[in-house]
Amino acid sequence: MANETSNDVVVDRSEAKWSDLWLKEDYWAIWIGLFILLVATIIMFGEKASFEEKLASYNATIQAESARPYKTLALIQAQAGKKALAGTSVPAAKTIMSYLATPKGWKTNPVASFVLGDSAVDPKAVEASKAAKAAADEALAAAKAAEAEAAAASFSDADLNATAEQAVAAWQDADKAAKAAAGKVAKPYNLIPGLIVLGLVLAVLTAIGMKFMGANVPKYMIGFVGVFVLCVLANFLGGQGTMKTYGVNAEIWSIIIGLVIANTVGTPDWMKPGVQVEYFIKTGLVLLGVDVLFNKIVAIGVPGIFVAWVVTPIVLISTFIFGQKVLKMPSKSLNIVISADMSVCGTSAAIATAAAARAKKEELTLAVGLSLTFTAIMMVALPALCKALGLPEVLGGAWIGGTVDSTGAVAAAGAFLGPKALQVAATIKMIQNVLIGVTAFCVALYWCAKVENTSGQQVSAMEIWNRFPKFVIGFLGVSIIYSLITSSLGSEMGNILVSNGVGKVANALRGWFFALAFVSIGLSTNFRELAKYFKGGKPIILYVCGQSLNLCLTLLMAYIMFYKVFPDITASI
Amino acid sequence: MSRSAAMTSRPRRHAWLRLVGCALALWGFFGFVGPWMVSVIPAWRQYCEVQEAHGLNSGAIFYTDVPVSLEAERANRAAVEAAMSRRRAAARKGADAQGVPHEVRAP
Repeated sequence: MANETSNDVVVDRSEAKWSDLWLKEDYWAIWIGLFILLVATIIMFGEKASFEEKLASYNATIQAESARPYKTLALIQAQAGKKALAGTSVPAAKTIMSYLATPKGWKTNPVASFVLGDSAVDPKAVEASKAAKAAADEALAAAKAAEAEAAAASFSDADLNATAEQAVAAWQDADKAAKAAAGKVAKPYNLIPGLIVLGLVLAVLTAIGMKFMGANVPKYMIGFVGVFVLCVLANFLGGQGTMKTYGVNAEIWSIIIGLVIANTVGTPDWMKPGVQVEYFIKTGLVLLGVDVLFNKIVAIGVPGIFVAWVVTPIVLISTFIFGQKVLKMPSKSLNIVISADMSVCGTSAAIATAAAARAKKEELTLAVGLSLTFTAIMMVALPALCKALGLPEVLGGAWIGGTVDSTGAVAAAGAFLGPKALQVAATIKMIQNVLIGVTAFCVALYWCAKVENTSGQQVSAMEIWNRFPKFVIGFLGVSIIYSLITSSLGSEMGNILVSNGVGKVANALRGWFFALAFVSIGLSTNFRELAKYFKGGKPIILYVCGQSLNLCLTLLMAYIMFYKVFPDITASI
Repeated sequence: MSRSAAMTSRPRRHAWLRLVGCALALWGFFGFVGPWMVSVIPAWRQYCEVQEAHGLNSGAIFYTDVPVSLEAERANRAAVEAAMSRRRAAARKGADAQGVPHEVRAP
């Protein structure tokens, strides 16, 4: 038999053929991902020369003005201009980004998520903004005049320098106030046409692959529209102010909506052809590759590498072995997905590992649910514990970054502790995020070579290749390609063209593909199937034991690295 | 309506009622129970205030969804560079004080 199907997980046993390149789902995930990235890259890199010119100009200004006795207007404006440089400012990129926008955040007015009319613009806010802008312009003129006087004395008169410095500081305050006032002026928008276009484009793009894979395209597209509408609903709910604070994002709402529909009225028959979990997840993962940039791992030096790349694999492997040998988890794939989401970085690691290990949809749902529950507890409890123990901010931040699952929760928990903790926590978690690519590859290799074997059977390299989930190669390949591109560009141009350029387009589409995948998971999951994985409470025990090891090891490693081996880095933070 | 049609429409009605019930339960939890819990648990309340003050979204699943990550990365890279420069300067000073020839010093 070419394929074995076990509860909607397909284990491909057929030999690799050239025709797989246009017949198999894994390859279509790679082609769609690469097509999107190629278009984005051509658009951003087409303006590379222009960005290089602007960057060189800003850097020259910054270098020249840094010699002055105080922070001059030119220095501040050059720094701000440099920070604002982004690939997405290219007109074509701006247009694309406008079509990829999710429903906007809202608090009490749900309509504002999609449409804001002219009537919503507050005339008082407009007046206040105009007044603040006028005040900022006046302060700028005064600062320029004071600076001109100081410059006329070649910046050697201390009194004139002090006066200019004060005038520049006053302008900065006025400028900040003007930006805050401008932010309060509502700008009318209508996202509905853009969402319709996006839905149709995604439907057509994914339908091309479905056609080659032998699906009924009209039925698929009708089903896709239904799934897409549920995604829009999930994004709408995830954008509500309180939901954002709780960490209940669009992906979580996607699962909830899908689960509720499937287990009450049932997934409508017309929608079922559009429910393509693996197809959407794999495409989303290939796009995620752009953000898995290997040069990020040295962002905080050797301490960061040890906390994020040494402790994490130890915890992951130890937890997996504990789950198999001690708890005797009935499902290896559930074990590895929970181990990965707990030790690496939550939902994104769960998605990548589940796809690599061909885990069942219920297993991914359970792992994500566990991660979310414990994240909600840890993101409040851990900072409180850090404060109670009197831990320094850098140590607390490293501890939070290495242990709290979700990246957003890490930043929030770090901010709760202090600015240094936020800085360190966010960077440690970023370095862990980069580990996803390697984790997915190693898990896929281990599964093909060992887990899917009959006991005692020797597996040839060709057989491993036949079984290997090819989308992982696309995911890792994109990661390596863009890591090399970023390295060759240098960190500044890399941030402009990749992180704030191609990466932004990929992020937006990745979000949509994951939401489509999670809605599909929910629509094809039965509560009773989900409940049986909780038997004996083993998943919870596994998570708690693994996380306890993670907490101890991360704290120890962070202390040794940041306070014993590299105290000078800690002092500089 | 025939008896068999009535019997099949009853499960459908129950299914729709369950759907509406779930939707109401979710609305009740997130709309009322959640905010009440936040208001009575001081740590949670403070946590929500910190998120709002920093414009953070605790549901973000990847570092690129957290804008502060890039700034944090820049600041940390600068800190590491500064620390390593000081180390190298201290090492050179130490080598000078000991009279170590330049050819045998570490790069």
